[in-house]
Amino acid sequence: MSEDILTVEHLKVGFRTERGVVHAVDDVSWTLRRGEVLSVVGESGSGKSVSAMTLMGLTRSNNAEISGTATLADGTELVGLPEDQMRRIRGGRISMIFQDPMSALTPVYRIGDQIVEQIRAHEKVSKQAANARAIDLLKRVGIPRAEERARAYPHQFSGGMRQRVMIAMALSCSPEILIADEPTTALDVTIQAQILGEIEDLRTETGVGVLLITHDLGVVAEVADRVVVMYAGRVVEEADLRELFKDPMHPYTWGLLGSIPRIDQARPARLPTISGSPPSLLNPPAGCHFITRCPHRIDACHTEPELKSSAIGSLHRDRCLLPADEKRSLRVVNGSIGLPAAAVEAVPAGVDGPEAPTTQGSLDSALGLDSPEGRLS
Amino acid sequence: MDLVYFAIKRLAGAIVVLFAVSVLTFLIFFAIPNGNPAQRLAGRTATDADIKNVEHIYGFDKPIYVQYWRTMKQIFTGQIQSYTQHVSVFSQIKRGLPATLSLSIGAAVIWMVVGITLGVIGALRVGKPSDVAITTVSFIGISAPSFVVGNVLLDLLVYKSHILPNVGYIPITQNAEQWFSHLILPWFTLAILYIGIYAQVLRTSVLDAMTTDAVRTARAKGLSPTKVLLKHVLRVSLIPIVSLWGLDFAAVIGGATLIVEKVFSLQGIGQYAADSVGALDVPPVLVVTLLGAFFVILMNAIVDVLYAVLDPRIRAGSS
Repeated sequence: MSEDILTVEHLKVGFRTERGVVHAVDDVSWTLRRGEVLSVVGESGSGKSVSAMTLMGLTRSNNAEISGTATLADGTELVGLPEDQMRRIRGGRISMIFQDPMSALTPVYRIGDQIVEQIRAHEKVSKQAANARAIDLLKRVGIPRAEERARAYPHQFSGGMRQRVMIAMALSCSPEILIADEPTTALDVTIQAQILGEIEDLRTETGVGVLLITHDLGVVAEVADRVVVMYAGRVVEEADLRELFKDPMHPYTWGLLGSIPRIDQARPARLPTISGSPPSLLNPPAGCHFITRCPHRIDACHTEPELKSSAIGSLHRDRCLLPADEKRSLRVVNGSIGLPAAAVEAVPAGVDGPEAPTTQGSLDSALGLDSPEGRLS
Repeated sequence: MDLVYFAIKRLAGAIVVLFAVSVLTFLIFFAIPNGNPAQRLAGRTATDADIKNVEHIYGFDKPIYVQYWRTMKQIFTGQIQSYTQHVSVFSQIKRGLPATLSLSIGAAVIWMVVGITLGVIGALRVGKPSDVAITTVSFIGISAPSFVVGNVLLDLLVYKSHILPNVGYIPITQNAEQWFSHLILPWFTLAILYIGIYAQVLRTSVLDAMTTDAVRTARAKGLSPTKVLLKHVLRVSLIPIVSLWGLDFAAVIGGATLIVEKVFSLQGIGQYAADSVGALDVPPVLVVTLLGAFFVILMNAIVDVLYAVLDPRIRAGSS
């Protein structure tokens, strides 16, 4: 078993608003190992980005409540780490790339200088040395004529090239952990594949642990080693990639997998969706957060289920209290994994209603189906 | 090549604008009732014959385009004289120029420095008492007319408490210290409006910039908050301020100093133009207006160049 480089335990992030506390991340635990790609999937608002930003100390503010632990390999505790030490970790030991490479770089500086800026923020090196390293990094992420291109401005690059620049910048201080927040969502399909290939190469070459945040199960299938599925601020299932696709144990995961269109089967009139919409994080339902949309719910679901493995010693954990055997039969709908359609009737009493009216769009976007580059395997 | 094209385009535009401004100014004086300058030139006791005589000497009996042509020729040969004082307009302008330039450049420096500082503080302390205070002061500054501000300041700091010297302009070459102390009040009176506007524009612009992805990236790189603010927030949010400043500064030199000059008796170009309008003295008004227009055009061109220097995306657009 390889070495754990980041252990997150019981991480909670809440934001105080005028209407109450929004529980954006509600008791999240997972472990990232050296050289692995851990993928966090979930729809918009499931708390995947917020948890990642919290690890970088970027959600800290006067109205944020953060608790739990996030520990690096050497024992450094990220939650509550003083800001000046956090700054050394940000961009130094943990770096991050974002969804929209078109706007992620400051438009008025040359890209080489922006990489140099990060190197010199963390290491005492001369401008020339930093610049030489920036050019090496650009070459490494596949930017042709790197010496020349380092002197160009961000607007002179295409989206894919800018994302490569972001990756080069993220790698500039040889981080232990790379957080990639939807790194391919804004790119077209061929570029997506190149960027994913790049990330893949990097982790084998450098042993960097990658936390890949995405809503695109196609991307997950392509590069992830392990997967964490998040729903309404909680981890609902955690498994190896293969296990998750072959033997999913949480009804929400079934719904996600069931809504992937299959190329080897006749296309249904309408793509299957999970009925209903995610609960309000301001006032989530008591017990299981998926209760409002789950066709298999039972009375016991009103008490909060814990994240536990269904078989002793297994690293496959889920947050559903149904027995494993029952789940294996319930999850089969029309011969493949999914949720039965139109499962949701009235919202159970005592539970806050959904925030938005039920829309197909929210789930489509959660799965990357609404964009032309949304790609599912 | 680009630069040559840019310069030619600008110059052509400038000529068209200057022509239009001169024609309009000229026509306005013909449209004013009882605007016949001959009547004033001939004096209060003049007979009709005297007036006719004056009209003939000055060419006021000629068609309007001939008059326009003659006046413009005089302007461009530098020979133009005022109707009422019979002195060279250019020598008068030269006399008023130091006061006007001292006033407007000084005020522009003050409003940039103070406006930017207040705007940044407001953005960093958004919602807090200091932000509310800055916004309140800004709006007072924007809505208070300069003749009120100027006279209140004069009354408090000069007439009542004698902290600052009386009105008037002392050339910097004569006594730098006196020059400065005489200009403090006019500077602030002129600047207060712009301080209010700039503080509010910059505050919004900084707040917008702080939520951009690029600033998030800058923070994620591990830069210090000061570096993020100066290099990634301010550098970008100052771009719109620069173009605003170019236009406002041109407007100030082109005549917005008038009221302040009048309140503080600075004898600058603005005051000269105002007095000439009162006397229906077309040549000085025409020359001052053209100078103002020329300055606006010049500042616009400078702002365009500055813009290209500050924002690489614009450079790419022009090439």
